[in-house]
Amino acid sequence: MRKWRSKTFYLILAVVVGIFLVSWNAQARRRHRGRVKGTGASKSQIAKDALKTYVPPGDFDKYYAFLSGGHSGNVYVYGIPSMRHIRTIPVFSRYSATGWGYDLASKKLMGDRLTWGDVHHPALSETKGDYDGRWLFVNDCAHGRVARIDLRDFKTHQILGPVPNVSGNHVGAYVTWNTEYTIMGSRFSAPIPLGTYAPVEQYKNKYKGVLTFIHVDPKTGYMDLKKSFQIVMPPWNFDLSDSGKGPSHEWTFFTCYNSEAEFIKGKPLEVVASQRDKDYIVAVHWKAAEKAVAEGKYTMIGGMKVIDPTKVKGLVYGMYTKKSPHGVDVTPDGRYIVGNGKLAPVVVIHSFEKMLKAIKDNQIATVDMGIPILKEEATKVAEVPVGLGPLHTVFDNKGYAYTSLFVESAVAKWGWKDGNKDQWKMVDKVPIQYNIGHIAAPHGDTMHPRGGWVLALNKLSKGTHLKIGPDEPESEQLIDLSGPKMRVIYQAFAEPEPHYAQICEAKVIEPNVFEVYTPQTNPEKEFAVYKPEKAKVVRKDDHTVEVFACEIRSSIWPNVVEVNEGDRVIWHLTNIETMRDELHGFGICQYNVNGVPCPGETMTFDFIADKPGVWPFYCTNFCSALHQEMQGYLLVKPKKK
Amino acid sequence: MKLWSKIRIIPLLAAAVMVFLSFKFPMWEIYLEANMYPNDIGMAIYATHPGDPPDVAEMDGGLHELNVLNHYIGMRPIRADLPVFKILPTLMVIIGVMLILSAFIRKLKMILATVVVFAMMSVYGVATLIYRIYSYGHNLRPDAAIKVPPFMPGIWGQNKLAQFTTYSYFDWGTYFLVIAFVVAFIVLVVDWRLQKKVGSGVIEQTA
Repeated sequence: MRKWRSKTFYLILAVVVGIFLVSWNAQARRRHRGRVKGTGASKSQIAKDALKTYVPPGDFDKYYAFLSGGHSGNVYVYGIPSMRHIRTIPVFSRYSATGWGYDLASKKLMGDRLTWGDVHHPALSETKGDYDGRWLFVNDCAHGRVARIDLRDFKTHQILGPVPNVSGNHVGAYVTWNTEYTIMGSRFSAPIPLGTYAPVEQYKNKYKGVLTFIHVDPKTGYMDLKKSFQIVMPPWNFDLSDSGKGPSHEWTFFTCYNSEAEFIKGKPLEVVASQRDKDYIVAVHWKAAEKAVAEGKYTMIGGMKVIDPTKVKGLVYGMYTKKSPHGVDVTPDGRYIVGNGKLAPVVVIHSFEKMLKAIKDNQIATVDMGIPILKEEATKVAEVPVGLGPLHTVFDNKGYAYTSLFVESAVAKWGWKDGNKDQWKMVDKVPIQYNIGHIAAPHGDTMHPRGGWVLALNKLSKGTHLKIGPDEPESEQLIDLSGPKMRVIYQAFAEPEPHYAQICEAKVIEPNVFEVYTPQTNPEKEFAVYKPEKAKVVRKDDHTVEVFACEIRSSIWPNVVEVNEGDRVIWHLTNIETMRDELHGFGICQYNVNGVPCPGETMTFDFIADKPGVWPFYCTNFCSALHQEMQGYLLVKPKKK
Repeated sequence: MKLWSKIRIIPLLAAAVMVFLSFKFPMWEIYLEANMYPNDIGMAIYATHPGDPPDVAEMDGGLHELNVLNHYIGMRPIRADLPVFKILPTLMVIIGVMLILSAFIRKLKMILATVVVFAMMSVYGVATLIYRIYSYGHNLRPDAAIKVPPFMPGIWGQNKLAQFTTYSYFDWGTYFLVIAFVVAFIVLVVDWRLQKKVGSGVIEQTA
């Protein structure tokens, strides 16, 4: 039976081969699956981390963080390091929680047509290159607008725009080092003035990029288009900007992609705009441009003073930067310009001094569509191999820079400062969850970064939270810089969709903040009544009724308002509380009237009494023990038939 | 030898069943792990089409996600209309039928032909896999947004690719074929030895 034995042998061999194959099998990999990988930190480490971010009730955060709200049109105020959301400041969109977009004043600011905006880059006002705690400027990418929030009452006080000639203001609202200007620029090129028609086949010649310097009044913060100017550029897609500081403070730097200057019907821009290995950081000598405007070297386009840099020389230069660069960030000393490579795994460092020298020595490599491009080796001092998809860089107080890596989902740390042994070298990297866009740090884009923390503003949270259906939030992660290695120690989830953030010491802002409007600071003081007995209903003419009302715990005065069907009702409402946080709301049933005047504030509602009948109005914002009793009636007499 | 001639049908029919079963299981899989994909994305190659791995529901993404990512580096989409997805299933059906026939037609030439065709198909399958993987990694579109040097994705085991760690495996689609082939081969060897002994082209010596 030798044969049988050999058959058995073959069978055993087959089984062994089978087991071998199966043992190194995909099944083994599948067993590893879990929802999210943990950090692997020890319990004692977690306890230490928790204490770093824990702010007990009654205690305060050290920093404000102002997060842009993206297409929500809002700004979110957070405390750092607790990562607590404290307030939403409505800017470009209606926000019924405060009546923004419902009362007359905010409706006037927003205009008739647009009820949304796309806030990307908040910029705190600066004095000598550091935050001064006065204003927060925010851009509207969608409609070419910029708004100013006053940090005394944390409310929007000005919305400027749509600014002529600018499509897709992604570049703003970064400010110059003394807030002389807030910056605007076109991510999308279009024929100017906007409204001009030209088919997309004429992209190269008829479509224009536009860089804008919006003048800011140094005392009031008022933005004035008459004192502003623009620079018309080739149809490159301008992405982000940063203004120089210290030695470079007369310059502003812009990144651009699509220096290919093409837009082809039916061909994706993601391919078209990615053909060149290097695009540009565009340097604009705004101080010289200001002078050129004063000398009349501009043309009026769409009501704006527009400088053509192909005619007025010496204002604009390009610097070769790999590849479709996203953010541009000037180092705290103002000496280096960091280009974040996006499609190249590096940050490209240009020296400001070398740039000036290259301009002086006429080191022009080429002239691209009329813009002189400096020789690469004449401006570039280093490339730091940070990793995949670098988008933005911020700085700490120890000579290190932190770059967000979108593709790699990580933050890279590298040295930048002269004298730092790690200058232009990678020193650390930490993974984040997931796909970081912007990165922010305390005073991290000023001349005086405070260090200690980095905030990763991540685009995707991908299930690192309780499940809430398919619409998942963005994630904000706090990175602790106190140890030898960066560590992610906290994660919060924001409303859509934070892009950039500003993180400012509370002590810079808080001294200016008031919590109750006085008769002097009340924005509509001329319509206020401060005593219940002064509340009144005034018939102005056959079709107009003006109401002067006030609210105090727990009544609305007057509590009966009689009008005729079809009357225009102008309803001024003053919250006459003098106690902080005593908000009162106001809403009329089945009328689209809603608002929440703060203590001491007057709001005005303007509506047509088009619905006859009896309509209760009441306080919508829970205020007091007898809040439920705080109501009245709007009596609308029907028209006689 | 009677016993063998009676039970010989069992391994051959089992092999045929395994060949048909292998249609249902992936031939080959690749999983890509990165920080942002803690539960992997990946794809599977079935005899008839490229597709998702069977456990795609627990993963972060399948073939579609992979194609979306690949387009950034200019890799062409993994297509279902490659000739191999017609040729390979056809060959497998032929081999399955040949195995059944070999079970009943007890001629050495029959089982020999089956094993030879089976071997040729295996060579063809593996060669195509390697060729296709190579060409997907090397024929990157020149106008890709992110330009990477041409690369060879891993056929088997753990490899590194940009920020990804890739894990490639053969799976039951392939294993069933391998086992079926081994079984068919063993039957061939046994038949061949018996025939040598008996000295006739007919395997079964009728009693």
